[in-house]
Amino acid sequence: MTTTDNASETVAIGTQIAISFEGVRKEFGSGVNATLAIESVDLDIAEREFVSLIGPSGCGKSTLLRLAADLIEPSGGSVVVNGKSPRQARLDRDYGFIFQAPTLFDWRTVWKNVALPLEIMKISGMSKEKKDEEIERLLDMVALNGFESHHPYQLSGGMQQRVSLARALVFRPSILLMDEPFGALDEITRDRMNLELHRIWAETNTTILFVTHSIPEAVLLSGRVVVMTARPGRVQEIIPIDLPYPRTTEVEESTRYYELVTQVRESLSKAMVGGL
Amino acid sequence: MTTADPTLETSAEQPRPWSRHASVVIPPLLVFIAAIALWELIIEVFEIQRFLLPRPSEIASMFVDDFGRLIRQGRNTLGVAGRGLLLGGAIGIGLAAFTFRTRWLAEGIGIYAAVLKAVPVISLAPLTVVWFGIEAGSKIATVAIATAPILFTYTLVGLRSADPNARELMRSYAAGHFRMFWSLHLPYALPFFFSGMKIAVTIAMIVAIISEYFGGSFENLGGYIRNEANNVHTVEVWTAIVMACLLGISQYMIVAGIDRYVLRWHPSKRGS
Repeated sequence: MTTTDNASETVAIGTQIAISFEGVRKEFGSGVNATLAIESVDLDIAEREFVSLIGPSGCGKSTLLRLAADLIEPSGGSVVVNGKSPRQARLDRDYGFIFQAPTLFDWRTVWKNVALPLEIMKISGMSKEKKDEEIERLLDMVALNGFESHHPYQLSGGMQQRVSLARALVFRPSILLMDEPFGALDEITRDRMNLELHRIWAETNTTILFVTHSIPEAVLLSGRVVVMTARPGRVQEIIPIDLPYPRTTEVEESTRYYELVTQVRESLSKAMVGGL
Repeated sequence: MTTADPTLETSAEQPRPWSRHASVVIPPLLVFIAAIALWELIIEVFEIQRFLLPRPSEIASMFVDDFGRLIRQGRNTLGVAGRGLLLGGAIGIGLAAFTFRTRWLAEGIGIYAAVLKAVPVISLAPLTVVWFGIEAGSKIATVAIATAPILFTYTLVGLRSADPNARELMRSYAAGHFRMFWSLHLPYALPFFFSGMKIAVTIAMIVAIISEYFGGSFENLGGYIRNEANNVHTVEVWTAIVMACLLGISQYMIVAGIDRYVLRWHPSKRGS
């Protein structure tokens, strides 16, 4: 019950819109071979919100994420990130992107992998000492101190993904775009990573848009779960998750948690029927 | 009983890596010694004439006597091979670096690189003599023509092997072209570059020596072989061949050593 009391303190969702999708459509290919990946998607994500996208394979959840990241461009509608075009947001380094694969550079040590964005961005007025401090803080946050001089291939899958998380956070982006980041990890590691991510989110005031296949993961982490239909992807339903903060293993055992998991599951099965 | 034998005792105390090295070095060494012995024996038994096939011992002693000159000549040949490789590498790697993101252009060049690799480039040697003169210039050019397509092809494949996710990651950092090349594509290209380099150094040495057969100074291995062969000085020819072998092998080993060191992070070099 004490957890419920803390709830309003730990999480303060902003009033500003961090990411906005308006009538977004995305078609891949052209002519007869064209596939409509997503259609008329409207979705607003507030600052400091944690929103999960869930849906059957090929529903365009990743497409939505990549549109926000300016890795692809929409065929119609508009995407706005921090009040700017996604391209401007990318050039301003407003977001960090995390892939399902850790995507670390084997020739670099853990330390140098985390340092990579800082090397590239040449953030003005940031001294070497400040950068080192920042890298150390992040490695501390993901519990990887002592592994600075290891190479990625010397680490387990979970540790690799933690390096990737530290690398995405090191330049303090206001938004994290996460594309099934824990999809390749085993259940136990995944559970631990979820709780860690949740803690980091609460500590850093970051807006997180999170693509996942896992219903329990989506319910445990999110403020809202967006259920999408199969191809072409549309928003089927947005389910607010009224679980107390911070989300802990206790929350995972509550009745409300199970109710919400069931609600998402039912919505998802409707979405799949609609898609087929 | 075994511990009474001092040799067994020391070998038992050696750490494992030693015995592993020994197992790599000893068998080929034994084969080499056996082959040399057989060679001597055949000459003895069949009374083969000296100008047809000299004794290994004779070649060895002349090699030692002439070592100073052979090294000088070897250095000249190595200089031609090295400068040709440098030029060929600059052309091949440069073209790969500038075209790897432009598919049609890289493919267009790639076809000619494939053709050049299929053509026995040495047949162009007389032509390069016409274009660049009888001395080092023409030989350097021939080596460059032989090595450029090899390094182009390998480097191109390597530059293109970069993980697409990693490209997107770099894009998300708004990394510029140079950054993308330096921090991502280059490390991915290195293993392929070294594979190409191991082939190219050997080819460079071969092409350098053969183009020296076509004329020019005698102060190099190819020229020396041409001259001594004309006079049926078979032993002298053999000493130059031995020098060429030693230089070729050491070049290859230097490249392989750099490869091992630079790519110690790569799956092929890490060990278990």
